[in-house]
Amino acid sequence: MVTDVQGVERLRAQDAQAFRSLIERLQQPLTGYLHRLVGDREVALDLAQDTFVQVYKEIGKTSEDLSVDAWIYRIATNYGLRYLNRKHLKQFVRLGSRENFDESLAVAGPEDQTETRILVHQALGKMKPKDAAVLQLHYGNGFTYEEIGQVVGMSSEAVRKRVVRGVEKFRKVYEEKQSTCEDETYRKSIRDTQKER
Amino acid sequence: MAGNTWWISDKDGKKHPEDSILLAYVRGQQLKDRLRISRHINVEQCQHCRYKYNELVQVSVTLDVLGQMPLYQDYPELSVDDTFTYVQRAANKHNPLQGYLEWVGNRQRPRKSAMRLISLPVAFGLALFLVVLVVLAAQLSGVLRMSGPLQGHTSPSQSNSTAIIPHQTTPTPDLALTATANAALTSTPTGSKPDIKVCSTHADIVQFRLVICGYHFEPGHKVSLVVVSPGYEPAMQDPVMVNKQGKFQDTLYISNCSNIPPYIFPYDVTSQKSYSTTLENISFASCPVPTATGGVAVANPGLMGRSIE
Repeated sequence: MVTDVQGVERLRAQDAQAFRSLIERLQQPLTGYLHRLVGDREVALDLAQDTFVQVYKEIGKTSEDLSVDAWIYRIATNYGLRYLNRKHLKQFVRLGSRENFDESLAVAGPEDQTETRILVHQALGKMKPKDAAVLQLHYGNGFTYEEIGQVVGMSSEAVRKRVVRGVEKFRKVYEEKQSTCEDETYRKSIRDTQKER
Repeated sequence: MAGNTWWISDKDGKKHPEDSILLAYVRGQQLKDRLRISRHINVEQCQHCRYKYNELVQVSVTLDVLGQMPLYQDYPELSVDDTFTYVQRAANKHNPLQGYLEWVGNRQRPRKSAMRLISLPVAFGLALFLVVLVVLAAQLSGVLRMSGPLQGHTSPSQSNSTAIIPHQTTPTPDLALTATANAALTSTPTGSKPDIKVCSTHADIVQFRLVICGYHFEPGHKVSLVVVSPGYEPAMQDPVMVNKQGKFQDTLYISNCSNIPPYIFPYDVTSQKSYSTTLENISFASCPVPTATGGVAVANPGLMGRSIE
């Protein structure tokens, strides 16, 4: 993570060039993170914009030793979690499934991993938003436990425990998804064979 | 850094790193005991840890697909200039309504407004829940009011008077239904000086209520009863309103004889004035009359409402 003191000073003074550089550096990865977190491209684009607006408004109130990236990811994560919590509430009221998967995420990566990506995202969608966010930050963005701690406002000890708890939950959900998927593939192959005969 | 390493003992007394430490080890996080963990898994060949280690490696390999995705995710519609302009415009808006309208007019992509609003079913559900709560609260207060002493006074709400008793205390047998009303309804004092009296009815006593009535106080003022117990800071009841006739009424809940205060005096909160009148030798049901020297123990001051500063 970048912690450039002079850069922070310029940002705090609302220097336009510094802010443009910040947007240039973080816009794509931040949107990507939000996209993976909320599972909706359009929403991720909106939330990323909202994040930058919030950064622009609030950076003047921060302290000099601010870790800018962690702070920005924190704002983005809060927006993402708020959106997910609202979405989960709505889906709970509608008694609907919350496993909608954004197809654009399936194509982001090697083709032979498409199925894994879909299953991974569906499994993460079944988890608590905060647990999913921690896993996204660690596995998706390569943040260390300490950096995640700065983002989500926890000690690295707490992050370590949350990551392992998240991984265990993920493993269970993923295995269930995988077996369901395998069953469906098996049933489909039987149906196809019967049709051929 | 992943913090301190924690090792847990198994049934045989052998120590193993806990799962979170193993995962931190798998993920290459900074650990104090990295060497020890490595030796434990690879040299000492701990079966349990090797199994868990392999399991965590496997699940991490699956989750690592997330790490490859940023390389392929692309948002060509994002431009630094557009975002910066949008941010500046949004941040400089002072009038929220005007800002919102301008933003709606200027935005390039349609915002999924449905995602940003609480849906109607949620709002309906919440409204229904609130209505049920209000009805329940109304019923509950109705029950209390029916059983409480009304006596035609402008009575304060019963919920204001909770100072004396511990919340969890169950009434003791000495205050059971057989209690006699020693402190029966007192008639209105004939003088014109502010005065307070015990005015509990039999119904109050069986419900463990010590009702205090005030007379000849300043109409419209708020008066608090100050409960003095030996050895403790005086505690002030929530203020109650004096009615047009100069009367007020407040209730103390007495769960057992030790809760009866030896002294009570009124304090005018509105004019911040104390009165010379003091209520003492308070008798309640069949309880002994408490004395100022602490002949009868009093309630925990922590449960007696606010202290006077």
